[in-house]
Amino acid sequence: MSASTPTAHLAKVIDCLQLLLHQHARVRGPAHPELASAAQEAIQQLHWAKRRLLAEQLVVAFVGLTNTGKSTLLNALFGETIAPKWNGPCSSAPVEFRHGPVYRATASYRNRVKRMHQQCGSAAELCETIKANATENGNAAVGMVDRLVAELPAQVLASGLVIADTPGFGAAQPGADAGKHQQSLVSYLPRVHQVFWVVRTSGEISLSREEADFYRQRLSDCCDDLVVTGAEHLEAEHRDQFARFCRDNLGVHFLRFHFVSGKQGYAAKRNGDTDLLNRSGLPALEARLTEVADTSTRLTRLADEVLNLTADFGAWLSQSDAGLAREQRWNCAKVEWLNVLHCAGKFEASGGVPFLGWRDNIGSTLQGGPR
Amino acid sequence: MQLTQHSRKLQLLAWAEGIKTIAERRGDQAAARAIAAEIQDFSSGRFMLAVVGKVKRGKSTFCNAFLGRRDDLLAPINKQPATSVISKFVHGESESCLVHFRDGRCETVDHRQIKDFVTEEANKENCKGVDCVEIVGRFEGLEKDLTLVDTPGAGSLHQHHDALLLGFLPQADAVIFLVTAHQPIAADELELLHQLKAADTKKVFFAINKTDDPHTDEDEIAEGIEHNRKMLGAVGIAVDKIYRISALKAMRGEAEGSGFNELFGDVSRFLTENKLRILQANFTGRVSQLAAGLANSLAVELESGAKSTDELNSEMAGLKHQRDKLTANRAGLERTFERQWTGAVERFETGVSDAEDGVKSKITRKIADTGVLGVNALARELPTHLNRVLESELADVSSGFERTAREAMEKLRLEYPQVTLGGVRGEIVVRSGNETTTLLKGTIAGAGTMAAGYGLAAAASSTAVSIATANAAAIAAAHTTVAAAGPLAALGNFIGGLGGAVLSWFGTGTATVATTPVLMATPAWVAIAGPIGWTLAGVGALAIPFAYRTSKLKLKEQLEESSQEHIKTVFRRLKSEQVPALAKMGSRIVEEFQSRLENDLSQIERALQAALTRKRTNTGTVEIEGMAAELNRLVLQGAAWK
Repeated sequence: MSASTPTAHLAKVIDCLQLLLHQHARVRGPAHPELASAAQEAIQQLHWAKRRLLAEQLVVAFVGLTNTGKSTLLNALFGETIAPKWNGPCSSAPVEFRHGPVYRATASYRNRVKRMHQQCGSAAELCETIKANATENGNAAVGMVDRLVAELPAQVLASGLVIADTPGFGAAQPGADAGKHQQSLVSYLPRVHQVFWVVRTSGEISLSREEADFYRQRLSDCCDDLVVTGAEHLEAEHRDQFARFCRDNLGVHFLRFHFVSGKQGYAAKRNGDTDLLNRSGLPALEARLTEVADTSTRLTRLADEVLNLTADFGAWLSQSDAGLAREQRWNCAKVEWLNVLHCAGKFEASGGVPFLGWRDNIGSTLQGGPR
Repeated sequence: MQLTQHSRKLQLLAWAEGIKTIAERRGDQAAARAIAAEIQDFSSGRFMLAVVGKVKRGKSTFCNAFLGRRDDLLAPINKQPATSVISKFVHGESESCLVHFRDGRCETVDHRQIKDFVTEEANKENCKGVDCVEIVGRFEGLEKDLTLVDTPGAGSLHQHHDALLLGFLPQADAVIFLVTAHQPIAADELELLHQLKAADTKKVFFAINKTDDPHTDEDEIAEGIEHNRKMLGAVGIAVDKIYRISALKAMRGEAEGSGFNELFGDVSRFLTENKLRILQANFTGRVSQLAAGLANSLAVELESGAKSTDELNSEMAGLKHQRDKLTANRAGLERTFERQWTGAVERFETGVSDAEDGVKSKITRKIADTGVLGVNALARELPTHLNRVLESELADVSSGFERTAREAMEKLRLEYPQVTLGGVRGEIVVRSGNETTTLLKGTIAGAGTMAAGYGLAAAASSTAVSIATANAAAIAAAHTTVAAAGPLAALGNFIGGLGGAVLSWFGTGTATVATTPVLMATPAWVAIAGPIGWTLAGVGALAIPFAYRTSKLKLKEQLEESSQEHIKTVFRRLKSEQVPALAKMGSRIVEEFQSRLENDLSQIERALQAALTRKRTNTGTVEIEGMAAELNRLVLQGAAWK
């Protein structure tokens, strides 16, 4: 990546902001742990923004309870059966689907350098390979395969998007295998840039406690989308109720809901049934995936996010005045603010989104001086 | 078949009556009353068939279909988790519905009002304090002495449902376990199956519901069955058949193709063949346990008869002396324990008050420190954050209490005098700390009755645990109003270490087992639903509801308001429910130890006294021998039945 691209400049802005926050947390944190944790939170947000910004290939993972139809949904997105499915705990290792001219599978193993490469003649063959290496019923010992990369010429991946199918959490695994799927999922999550949370309904409006807990503990930072599969069972009014139920019970109001029927979508694509395809809700989900993957709009969205955070942080800084000598605080912050301003200017000049707000906001913070 | 079963029942009743008569002749009124209650329960012969499963598996639909109802008036159905209490359906000539409340009140309501008491929607978090609902009607599907039980689903967002369900499980004589076609057994259902196994449920009918879903194909059902079989095998629950049903179809009256006829037929065949056997096993177990206590005291008296008046007098004097010594000794121990316990509770209370201020200021600061533009992110993060703050602020307080309570409890258990069988010569000894004093020599040598009694008591203890734990969870659930467990649930584990002593804290339900000489271990799940674990465990779960279509400024205010409200509620509950419960628990533990010792000593004293009286009046031991022999015969008979 050349140093003069808008992406590089925005990354620099993020770096400067993170540094500013770090300094703040370091200097004032020991005396005011709540300020340190606030700074930590903002740093975390910037961390996700930067990861998404710099990701050459954005990895979107479909994550959900066991048996929520993640694999069925992916097959519907690809338009052919690639992800093996089984009515019972199935995927035992994460599978990354990437775009490629031919069907190909590469498996990496835990604590091993050597990988397994396999060229596949057809979708069916790729599916068999995945089944053998990354599912509960395959031959590979559960837990041996760390991750499997599957390449296929699917339209939805053409933009460079990587879609990951993950083992379900809460799978019934008796004895020594208990929790293995969940472990595999949790250790894979750090590789992911964005999570689409998959929940299944068969007409009921309900979340299990396990789902709610998993969301709160693992997904709340990196997930903005909730995909409800089995949507063929829900009327429009019940879809609204479902969304309200989730928002109320999770205390989260910004989740985007996608009501999808993987089965209908798959059948519609196979039979060229446009009507059914629209009803399945699949096109809307595909549009959202495209939006997430699109590099140019991604930049705008992330710049927007960072701008908001700058404004928030400026406000926070000028409001909080616990402890530290104001002059000292100001001096340490000022240099970094100037840095941020400088980088922001470069970001605009290099073709990034021109936000007058950047300058105004930071400018007024600087002029305000220590209070 | 019917006739032999009937005569067997009469035989068992006569057997229990025999034991009751001996108890009356001995003047042991408590045992006689307890046996009378068992006899009454058994002779009414009600068999409990419970429908259980994870949330939204169609349990209430199933119950409606089973009862032959076409509406959901009696077992309301909703798209959201619905059933929030235990509902019992009983056959009767007239229609009625009796709501039992936790405070002992009873209210008769109309069928149309049932939903006001049994659903989460109308009775949020069981704010009406319903214990269970008993619905009587002319149900065509229900045999006269069968009680069908609808239970709340496991694993929903409402944790108090789980506590209720688990508390009820030991009372179920048989269970219908429901999963659905495209959702075979998951981890939480596996756990529920383990609980069924632990509750010694005699029979499980495993059924896959919603098999009529047009979106589920044959292959998927077959795959699900394969997985379910594997899981059932792993838990060790024997299931000969996996039923494929559609409760919805059956409820609509389409019995054909709903799979109901087959299940129905098997259930009633099972009931005809096994109902009495299972009821008998439970009955025999409970009565045998009561008989064991009687056998114990008779054995002492019988052995004493062989001793001379002088020997008896000196033993009596020795006992009195021991008793005085023990009283002085134990009073000291009790005081120390109570002091430690009260201190711990007080520190807990102070700690909780301090924590409240800490939590409040941290959250207020957090909200104030967030800029207007960050409010959305804050709203998303706040529940988790609040959770974390609550947990970190309360962690020290609760673990401090846990440590002190555990230490005090352990010390009391080790040092408190305990009457036991000891040594090869079968003496009765008192162990108090490291010191062992012989109370009575050679008591069980040759008697045999007592040994048999002890053996039986141990064998029957699993039943007793079932009764006790059921009560424990029901009471715990009565207080549990906040959902979901946090890391603090670990605190509940220490309850497990307290053993049987804690069980009696839960009140009346354990009265029948309070006098048994066997200390029982508390199953781990009671620890979780137990009186300490639940409050702190529930504290963490705070979903903050608010209208999200408002301006960011308004949202910020609302966040502040609702989080303060939540904090206040949590701490109010901690202080008004948890602290008094903890305080009371300390003295209940002491009472339990006292009454156990007192009871054991009195039994011995009574036996000696009786022996002395007989010597003085020159009455032979014929009567007592007769009683002991009779009881011995009955106890052995009971053991053979088991």
